[in-house]
Amino acid sequence: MKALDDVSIYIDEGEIFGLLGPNGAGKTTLIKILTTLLLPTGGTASVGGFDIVKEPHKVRKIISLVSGGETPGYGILSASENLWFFSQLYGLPSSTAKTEIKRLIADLEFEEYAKTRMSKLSTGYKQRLNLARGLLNNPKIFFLDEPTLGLDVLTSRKLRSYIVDWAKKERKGTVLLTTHYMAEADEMCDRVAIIDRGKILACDSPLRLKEKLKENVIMKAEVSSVQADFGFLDHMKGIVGVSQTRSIQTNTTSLKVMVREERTFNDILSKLEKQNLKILSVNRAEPTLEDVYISLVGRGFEEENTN
Amino acid sequence: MTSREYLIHNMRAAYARLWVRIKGGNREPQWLLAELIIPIITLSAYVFLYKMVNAPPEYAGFVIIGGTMMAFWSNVLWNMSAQFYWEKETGTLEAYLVAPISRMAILLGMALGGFVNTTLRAAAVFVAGILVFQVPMAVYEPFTALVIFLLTIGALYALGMMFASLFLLYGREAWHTANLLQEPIQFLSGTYYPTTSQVIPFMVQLLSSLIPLTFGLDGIRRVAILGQGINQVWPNIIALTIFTLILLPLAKKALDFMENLGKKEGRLTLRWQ
Amino acid sequence: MAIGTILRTIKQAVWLGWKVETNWADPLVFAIYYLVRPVAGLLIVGFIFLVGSVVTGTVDPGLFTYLFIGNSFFIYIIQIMMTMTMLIHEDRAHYEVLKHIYLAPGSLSWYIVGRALNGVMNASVSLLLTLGLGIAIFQYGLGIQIPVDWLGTNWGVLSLTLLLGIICFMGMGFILCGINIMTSKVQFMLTEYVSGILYLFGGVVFLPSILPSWGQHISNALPVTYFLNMVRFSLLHQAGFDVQMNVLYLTLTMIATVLLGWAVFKIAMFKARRDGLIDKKEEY
Repeated sequence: MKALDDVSIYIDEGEIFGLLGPNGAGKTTLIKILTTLLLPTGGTASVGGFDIVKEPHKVRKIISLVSGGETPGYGILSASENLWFFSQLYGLPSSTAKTEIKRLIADLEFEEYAKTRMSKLSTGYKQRLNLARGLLNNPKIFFLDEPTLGLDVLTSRKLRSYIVDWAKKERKGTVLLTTHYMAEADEMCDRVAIIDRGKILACDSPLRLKEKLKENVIMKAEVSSVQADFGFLDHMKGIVGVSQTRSIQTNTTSLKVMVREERTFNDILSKLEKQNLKILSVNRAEPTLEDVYISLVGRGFEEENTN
Repeated sequence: MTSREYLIHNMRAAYARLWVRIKGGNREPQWLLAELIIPIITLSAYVFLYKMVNAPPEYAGFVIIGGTMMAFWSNVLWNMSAQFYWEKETGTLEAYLVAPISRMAILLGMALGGFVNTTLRAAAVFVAGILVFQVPMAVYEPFTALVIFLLTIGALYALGMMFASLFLLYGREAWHTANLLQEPIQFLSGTYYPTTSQVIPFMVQLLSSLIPLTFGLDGIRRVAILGQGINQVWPNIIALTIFTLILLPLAKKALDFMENLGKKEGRLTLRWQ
Repeated sequence: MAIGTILRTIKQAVWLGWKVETNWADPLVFAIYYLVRPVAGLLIVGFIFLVGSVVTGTVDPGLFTYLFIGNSFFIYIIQIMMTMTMLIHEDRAHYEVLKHIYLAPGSLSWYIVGRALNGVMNASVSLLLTLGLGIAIFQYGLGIQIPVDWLGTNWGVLSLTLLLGIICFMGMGFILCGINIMTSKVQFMLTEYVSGILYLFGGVVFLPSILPSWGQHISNALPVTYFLNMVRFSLLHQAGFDVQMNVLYLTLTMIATVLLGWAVFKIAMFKARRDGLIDKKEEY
């Protein structure tokens, strides 16, 4: 099984680069290779001008890695104690470390929990701590592996805006961000590479990726059943891609279809009506990064994750 | 980075890890109690066993010394070697591996932190054991005793660093291997009896000579209980020195090898193995 | 709860325990693992006995046999307690499955019983291998007589002893489980404390008469003492041994520990539900 297949990307200095793809696409594998945690089976890679295989020590000096869903640290130590500990791994003199820690804790707004044991922090504050840890050494290149995984909307938004400010205004550092949240990639990234089953399918700015879909029509329909059968779509011509989301709570299915011509969508609606399905709403949608993905792969993220 | 800067950087990292071990180790007072009481209970059983067969009182001293040194071996196994296993399971190992530090610096920090904690507790067990069982002590060369003790610790920790490399790559296999290394090591190294006794089969004596702890225990017993000195224990000192000189570079090689292997096979940060 | 559900829960727990314990290694490595530690433990106490005896010039085979049997059968206590105490930590903090087991139709208590039974199975295998190797090393290798007629074992007494003893140790295990559910601060040391105390005062490797008088009172109150007395009787058939009294004491202590274990576990589960401890993750 190949986790990555012929992946070739170039990230400019100061860029926020996103790697977008469903679970199992190879995003984390790529990050692990670039952060020297995993050896590639073939090819070459350099980070900050240093070869990841031959010069891993030089790479580690200029990078930092923050992974979502994991909070490295010692539960028995407080947040600030953990940060001090990690600062020493990067060789920061104690006085510098203390100043930096104070500033990061204030910037990430968890001063009231600075002296709380890490084991007692909520997921959101643990991730803020994790992010602070990643920024302690002021890295030139910051690797973020699904940094908002499992976080609530407000916390996610806060962290995203902090990372963008850090990269663009404060440090002017380079960020490689992996995510399967489209909105996150859209909001944060200068460029996005869409990856699926180890292959890079497209790589460009979110705007240009979406513009490529302007020639297609994206229609959304909501039908009043979770058991609707959309198998007929596989045999219809003129369909670029399909995505469906079923909601058991509301007993509805949202169908998003990318078609070459609007009349194809009319045919789809007729077929749905023949199934005696009630069509609750129909509207035209602006292309999103998910649509870009659908156009490349033919199916949506949710289906991918279900499969 | 110059060599001096590299050294200072890694010393900082080692100090930080030592600080975590000491701070964390003393934040849970129930651990303190357990590390005093549990060894005394186990050692008492062996002392009473010697009493049942009417062995001379110095044999109780052998048990106490053996039990005290076992505290260091347990510390090496569980608070150093196996520490990478815990770090892997909690996600901290990844942070270590991405940081620009030597793995040996982290292990050194763990070792020193563990040594500080364990020494205090082992000393308490030792004193309690000597007092409770009224073991006759005969220390005429305390400096020699200290030298043997420190050399034994050095060799044990070097061995522990080598085992730590297993935990970089493996998960539960390494955990079970560490478990496996408790009683067999106690048996082979003669933790509770002198391996020089005529009862011990030759093969067992031969195997026990491959373990640094055997020489350490024998040396400390001779100097602390039997009133012997440097003239009798110099072979132990030489053996322990040789062990340390061999094990330390081996440990570095093993760590590098295992880390590379782990990276190739993608098991370095794999949890629940 | 239906008997079928209980039996199914126990069966699944035994299977799970077996899988968790064994799937990290191939069968040979696993067998070595389960043999080496108990045999090494036996060798340690065996050699303490021999080294001490040789100094005085007398090796008493009766005392050696006392130690040999006691140390070997103590494996049941260690294995059951360790399984039952560690499973709370493993299933709650490590594998994070405890809450799912709790929510499933089968009861958590029966699941724990099943896991303990797996511990009993492992202990039984270890015991047989330890006895076999122990005899090979000490009797045939070192020439120490172990005057046991293994084929003349009183199977009735042995079976009854094992049954009562295992139930009793499971009762103790539930007490420890309950404590570990309420607090994770002592999880790793609890088994060590309890098994250490039982090892010291339970007449495992030395006669309780060697202990100071207060120690002998403790010994007389422990079920382990009667368990091992009865095991030794089933193998050695000592004249004058009061089987009925020992069975009575073992039964009474078994009932007491089972009741206490049930009570502590019930209180623990109530507290766990009230304080949100069922899926609490402690990190250190």
